[in-house]
This record gives sequence, structure tokens and C-alpha cells, in this order.
Amino acid sequence: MDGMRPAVGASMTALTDYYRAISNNLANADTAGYKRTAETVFERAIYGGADTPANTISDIPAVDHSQGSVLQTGRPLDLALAGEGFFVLDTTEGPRYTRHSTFMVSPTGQVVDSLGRTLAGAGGPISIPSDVDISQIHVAKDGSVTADGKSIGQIEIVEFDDVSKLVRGDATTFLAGPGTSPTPAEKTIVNQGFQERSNVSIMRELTNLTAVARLYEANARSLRTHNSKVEDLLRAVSG
Amino acid sequence: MLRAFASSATGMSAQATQLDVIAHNLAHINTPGSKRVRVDFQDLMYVQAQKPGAEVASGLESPTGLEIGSGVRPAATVRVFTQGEMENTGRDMDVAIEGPGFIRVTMPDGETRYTRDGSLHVDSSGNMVTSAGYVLADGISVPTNATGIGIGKDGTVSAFVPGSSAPSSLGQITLARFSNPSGLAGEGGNMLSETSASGSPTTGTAGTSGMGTLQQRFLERTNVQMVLELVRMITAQRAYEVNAKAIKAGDEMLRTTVTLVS
Repeated sequence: MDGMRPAVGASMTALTDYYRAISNNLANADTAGYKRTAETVFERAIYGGADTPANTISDIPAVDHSQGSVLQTGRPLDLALAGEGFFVLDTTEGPRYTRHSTFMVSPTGQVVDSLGRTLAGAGGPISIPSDVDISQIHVAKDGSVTADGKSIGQIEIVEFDDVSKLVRGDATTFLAGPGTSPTPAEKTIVNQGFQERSNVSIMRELTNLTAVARLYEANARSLRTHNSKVEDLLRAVSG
Repeated sequence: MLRAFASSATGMSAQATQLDVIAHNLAHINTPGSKRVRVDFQDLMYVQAQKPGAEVASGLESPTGLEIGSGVRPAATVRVFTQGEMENTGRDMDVAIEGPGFIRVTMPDGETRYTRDGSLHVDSSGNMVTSAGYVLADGISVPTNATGIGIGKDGTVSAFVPGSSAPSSLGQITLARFSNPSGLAGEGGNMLSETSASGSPTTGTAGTSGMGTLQQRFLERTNVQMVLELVRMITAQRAYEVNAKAIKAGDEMLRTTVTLVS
């Protein structure tokens, strides 16, 4: 009988973690390029256990990298990716990979994101000449940047053979974890004038949230029943 | 649980900010030259509940670990500089900038501000001013007996003065451009000011080196699209609601835990 308590406790902890992940997904329902935390890890933790076959636990993605929907904004430096590629941001801590589609020009003329991190192009950052205005910038589907026919640069777009090995970094970015490295993307296209929305589906998160709340309650109830049964037993023994 | 409440609270706060910005955009539907503002959200730092490679059960390694985020934050408000619609007003002193660039205005304290609002007037001393009465930096003076003001595409201002058959040039309206106009700070009165994020302005003649041209008798309307703003408003409302629901669900779970003991 006693073996039940640790199992229920672990289950409730897993449910709490699951709830926190859902809350984070919901908070980021409007964050451009956000990739939601998937439920599969939690389902293993709640329903699985040590008797789950080893080969089914090896590739559980914690992040759902599915494509977010695109919204047309008409802004020249809104660049939404369609496909499995990522943009590369050059930061002081190394390259970071992102799908966050809002870019702008820094005071020194380089293409950066809203936190000032430089967008990587082939051979360095993309510099906009001072006599070219943002409205004249054209980004083709392959990521090449031109203005009035003159070439300005080429945006670097990479992909990974195993996206499940990407680790979350600061502010809508990912780092390459051990076991995977970036390669030039082949089938990803860049859509200028579009924003990639968050891939959070509110319906799905709410459904999961309801399930979590009910499971939590069910676990608590069984714990309470177990508790009262132990009490009864003790009372019966002590007379 | 309480950490999750904080995440949901950031979600609600973010949507409230979004609604503020939408309200601002809609309030400026009729302001000439105004540009719509958009909030750029980023997710907040992740706490590693389990490192990648950690043991989940005996002999089984977690391939990616468990990272749970802390919510969302507004990282920036982005002013979107797409061209607004051109409205033919037929008024001689109305001018619209077609393409990039700003008209420079001198403030009473000597500072320069920048605007796309081309609704110009002449004050009692004959200076060309904005509708709020601030003098244009190009310092154009219009004689009291001048008729038929003309503003060319390149900004040259001319007028007919009685006594001569040919129009006389009164000066030229020059434009200023920034490498990052989204970095300009809003100062109210439909004017923007330079910041370290916007970079220094390059001034020049309209129609040259990337500057737009001036269209007389037109006004540039706002680039706010009502449909887009209304869609964003509905999304913000639902997202706000759903974050509140998450807090409610968590609260019930907490209550269940608390009543376990009693």
C-alpha cells in the first residue's frame, strides 16, 4: 500500500511541470516565431515509467517545431521562413538559431533583430548602404538581399538533421546541443513582408489544461483515500 | 505552481500592452502621416528542470532535458514605416512625402524634430510652419502678397509675387532620412526625434540618394489598417482570457493540494 504514495507524488509533480509548460505556451500565444513545448515528454512521465521499452523513449521531442501560420504585414524586414530552416543570429555567446521574423536596421546599417543581435549572412553581417532606404530592400525567396538590382548580401539559413537536439536559448532562439550541427538549408524559402506567428494552438493547450487539472484532482483524491485507509488500519491495530 | 502563475501574469500583461498599442493605432486613423506601431514579443528565460542527457529512469537518458519557460515580455515597440494612402486634398499648402524621408521642424528650444505630416501653413510673420505652428528647419518665408504657392517634387517652393510674370523661388524643403527609422522616439504632436538607435539623419534634396519625393496638394493618410488592428484586438482579447483561465485552473489544483491535509 505504501508504494502508492511515491508514485502518486511523482505523478503530481509531473503534472505540475506540465501545467507550467502549458502556461508558458499560452503566455507566448502571440510571440512571433515561438515554438511550443510539446506534451509528449510529460505523457511519458505521467503514464510511462520504468517498464516503457527503451527504444520508444529515445526520440521524444520536448519542443514542437511545426510551422506557425504566416501573417502578411507588408513590412520589408518581416521575413517569415517556410520550411525547416532557421535564421542565424551572431551573438557574443556564439551563434543562435531562430524563426522570430521581425528584423530592423541598426544605427550602423546592419540587419539586426529587436534585441540588437546581428543577422548572419554569407561572410558576415548584412550591411545596408547608407543611400539605400529600407523600403527599397528586396529579399528573394532564397534569402538573397538586393536593392534596385544591386546585390547587398545573402542571408544564411541553416537546418538540422535532428531538431530534437536543439536546446532553448534566450528570447525565442535555440542553441545546437551536442549531437547535431547546422547544415545549409535546402528547401526553406524566405517570405518578405510576412510574420511567422506562434505555433501555439489555444484549443489544444486548453484541452491539455483541462486534462491536467482533472488528473491532478484524481491523483489527490486517491492519495486522500489511501491516507484514510492507513488511518483506519492504524486505528484497528491500536484498538 | 506559483511560477506558472507568474508566466500567465506576463501573458496577460503582454496582451494588455498589445491592446494599448492597438487603441493608439486606431485613435490615429485620421492623423496625416502617422505610422502604425506594433509590439514585438519575446519569450522569457528557461529554467532547466532536467538537463539534456540526465537519467530519467535507470539506464534511460533524457535526450533533450526539460526546459520550462517563464512567460513572455514585450521586447520592443516597432513603428512600421510603410507608405500610407495618398489623399488628394487640393489644398496648396498640403504636401505628402512619397517614399522615405521626413520634413525637419525646428522647436522653440532649437531642437530638430521630424515629421511626415505635410499639412503646412503660413504664420503671421510669413514663415512656413506645421499645423501646430512650429517653423520648418528649411526656414522658408512667404511674402504677404504672394499668390499661387507651388511646391515641386524636389521640394522647391515658389510663388507668384505681383509685379513679375515669372514665379520667384522662396527656398527649398529638404528631407531627412535615417538608417533605422523604427528607432525614432515619438514626441507627440505627430513628430519624432532622433535617438542613438535611429542613427544620425542624412539630409538631402527630395528625389535624390534614397529620399522620397514631395507631392503638393496631397496628404499622406495613416498606414494603420483597420481590419488588421481589429484582428489583433480579437486575438489579444482571447489570449488574455485564456491566460486568466490557466491561472484559474492552477488555482484549483493548488486548492486540491491544500485540502489534502485538512
